[in-house]
Amino acid sequence: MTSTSPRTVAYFYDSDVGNFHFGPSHPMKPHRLAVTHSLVLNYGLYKKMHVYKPYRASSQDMVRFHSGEYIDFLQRVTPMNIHSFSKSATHFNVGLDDCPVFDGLYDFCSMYTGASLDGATKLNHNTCDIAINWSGGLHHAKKFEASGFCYINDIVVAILELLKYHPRVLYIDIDCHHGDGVQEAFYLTDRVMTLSLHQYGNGFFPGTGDMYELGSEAGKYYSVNVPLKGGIDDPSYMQIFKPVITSVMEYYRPTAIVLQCGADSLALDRLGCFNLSTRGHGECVKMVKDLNVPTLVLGGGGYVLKNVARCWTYETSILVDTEISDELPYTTYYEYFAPDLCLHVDSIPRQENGNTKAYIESIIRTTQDNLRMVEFAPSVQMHERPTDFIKKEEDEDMKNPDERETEEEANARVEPENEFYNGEKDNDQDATSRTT
Amino acid sequence: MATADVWPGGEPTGREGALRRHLSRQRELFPSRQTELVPVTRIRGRCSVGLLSGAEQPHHYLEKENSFYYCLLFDPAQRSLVADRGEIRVGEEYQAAPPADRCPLRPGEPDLERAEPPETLLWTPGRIDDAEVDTFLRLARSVGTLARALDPSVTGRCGASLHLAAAAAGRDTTTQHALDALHAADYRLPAALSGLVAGRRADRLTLCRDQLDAWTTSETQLFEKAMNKCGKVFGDIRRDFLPWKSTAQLVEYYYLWKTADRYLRRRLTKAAAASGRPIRLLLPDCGRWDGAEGGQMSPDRGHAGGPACAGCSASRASRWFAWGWRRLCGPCWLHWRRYGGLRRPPTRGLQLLSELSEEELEQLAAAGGGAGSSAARRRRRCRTERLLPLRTGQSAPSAPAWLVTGERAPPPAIEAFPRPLKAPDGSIIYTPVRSRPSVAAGRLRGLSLDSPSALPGSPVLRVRRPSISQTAHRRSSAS
Repeated sequence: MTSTSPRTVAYFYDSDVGNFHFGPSHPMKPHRLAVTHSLVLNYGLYKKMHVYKPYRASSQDMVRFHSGEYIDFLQRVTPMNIHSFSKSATHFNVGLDDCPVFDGLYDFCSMYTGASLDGATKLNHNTCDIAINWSGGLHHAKKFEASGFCYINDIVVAILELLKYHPRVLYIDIDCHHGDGVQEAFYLTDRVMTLSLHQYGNGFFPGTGDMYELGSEAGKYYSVNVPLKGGIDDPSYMQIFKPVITSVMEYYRPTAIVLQCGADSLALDRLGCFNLSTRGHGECVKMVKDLNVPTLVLGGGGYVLKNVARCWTYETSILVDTEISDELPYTTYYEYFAPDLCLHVDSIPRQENGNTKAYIESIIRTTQDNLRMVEFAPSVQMHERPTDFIKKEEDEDMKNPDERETEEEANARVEPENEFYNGEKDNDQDATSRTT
Repeated sequence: MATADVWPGGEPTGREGALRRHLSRQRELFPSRQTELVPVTRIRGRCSVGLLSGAEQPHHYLEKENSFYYCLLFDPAQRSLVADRGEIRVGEEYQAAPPADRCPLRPGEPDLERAEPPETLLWTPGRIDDAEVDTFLRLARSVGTLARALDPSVTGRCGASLHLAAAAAGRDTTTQHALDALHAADYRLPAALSGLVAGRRADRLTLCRDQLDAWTTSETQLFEKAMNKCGKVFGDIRRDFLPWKSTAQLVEYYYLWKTADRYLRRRLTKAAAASGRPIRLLLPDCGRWDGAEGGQMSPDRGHAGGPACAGCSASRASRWFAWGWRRLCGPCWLHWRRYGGLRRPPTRGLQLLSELSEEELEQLAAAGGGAGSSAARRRRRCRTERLLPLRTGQSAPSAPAWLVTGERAPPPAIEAFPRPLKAPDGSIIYTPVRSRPSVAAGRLRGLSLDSPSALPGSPVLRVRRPSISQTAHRRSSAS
């Protein structure tokens, strides 16, 4: 599954997105995005990507998932007038500790949502193979309420955009917290599989993500949860991540992937309790990249500003296939990285790993057993053939009936292009031969 | 509580299983989300408490010392147990509506709902050689340094030193501007270069300023004053101190200011001031923990010839601890303090016998006729006589109420009504009865089968245990 073919990478960054502040002693710091961009710029990764200043999402884009009154509320509320909204603020869970109302809240939301939406559009039009938006990935937001520092769920909005062209979208969440907003949004559908690896138990936010949350109705078995205990290190994480991803790809065969790279699963995070190094975190990104499926890479949590910047810079370098040195270049924020001035964050040695060997093995087994059910459950693959057939007829109507179709045309119609890849892009040859 | 939750794979059987089950039960806790303040003296150490997941068995927690599990939370307000589990809500208000048609648009097919969004391309890779870009960036920084040296408005701050001017020109805003200029010039170096230096006047050079450059010294001082007063509430800073700046400018300046020398100096001054202040730490009265060693018996009472340990039946131990009317050896005492139970299942007799294999039962029956002390023989006989019929499905013989089917209770270490000791002069000395070790406060546990306060017996056959008064009576009558 390794590939060395260069892939087109689109990078979305709005220079204003870092200049928001959630309030004193709030762990979420949007300025981490500016620091990340500074490192990306000075490491010379900027030159290797298509860089875009994203468009700002309109309220029409947001109401594709969120409820109209919630968006309306977000547009109108400011720190000055929050008192006059106290009833709806409670209803929408805004204005309390986790999700405060700050100056420019709606602008912030429309910036990161617009960037994710732009990335999805670029993937849809095959303008790029990988789209990066480190400001996105706010996976807790619900349809009509804010939750866990997230107001607008840009992931759901982007996935809805991807679904226009892609029959099956896989969502992977390596944030330390459960991706509950995305899972809830697609709980009943088989067109999106949500996979989340997260810390679970002991009142850890948000409290969902048990391994028995599988989805329901048509979406049964299309929600995959891997609850973990605190202190997990690189080897254990990869021991779980690899087989689970392999199984997901084998049974689900997504045509597009959305990867949420929350950096709070790193060691020493202010909220998360995992013990991953940046190398371990990046290994997950590399593995997803090597699947050779169009991928939207998003940010997410991460509450130690300098470590988030380090992690996402390293992951940008992985996505553009460039090796970067451990020694940091001079940047505007050079002093932030003192005293070590290194790129990588290491795991804490001798930290207790709450995940025993037996636990890890058991959780992999359960997850794979559940994934096996996807094959038997009614799924999109089974519906694919008839729609192809109908499409073919439509296509024929459009054409000149007197003209004899060429052989290429006949062959091209057998599979939709977004379903399988040919040649070196094909990463699951046996799967292809089995189904065709 | 539902045992099915705890034992998804069915309970283990056999003697091993019983022991494991017994020990696992001691590891279950019912935490509450309420914060409670306890005296320092009550803290015994650290332990880890984990939610028992479906992927693991309670006995996995036996592998590590001081690790506990929980399935249910205790809610002190309701005085009830609740599951610790969030829920995924299902309904129209919660789920997204994916495009209804199963067949999506084909690649290349135009999306009529959504025209290409108006994002701005800032860079296309591969149009220009990397080395050329780097050269251009160096040039842009040089121009920036020169511009700072020439500009009277910045000369006052960083222009005075060439080092500072160069460092200021090396910041991202110059780099970003240079790359944008290169893109705007369609990656032609000469055009981009002339854009950097060309102006109406000969000395007009491109000078990119970020917030750190743009602020005057007085604004900086005002900001520092505001930080001292309002902290990081940028809305207040703007309102009270710097109304001509936007909040975004304040935030950007704050993060750049943190890299500046001024901030570092300020922090050092603050740290020095803090270190000069004496630290006051209020320590409560950390007397010896009530009962840490309180249960230990004095050497003369914990003599070697006394009753066996209630936890492991050892008759020799270096230290003995009073435990209700019985006593515990050192390791059993520690286990009791830690897990609130004994190291083996409490009820002997039926529960255990029913878990024995046929051979073991036969061995037990055969051993009944072998050599041994008469007490041991009697004990074995009464067990097998009573229990073999039970195993084979016959009805249980009515046992006399006084019959102790389990292990014969050892003589008590502390008697409720002991014969009074006499002083050399013949007068009687009365000693107060020790209280039994109390169950750890602040740690609510399920009905512990082996705590001396609650002896519910086996669920099938109620096993009578001698009460304190009975034992005391028997002993006094025997002597």
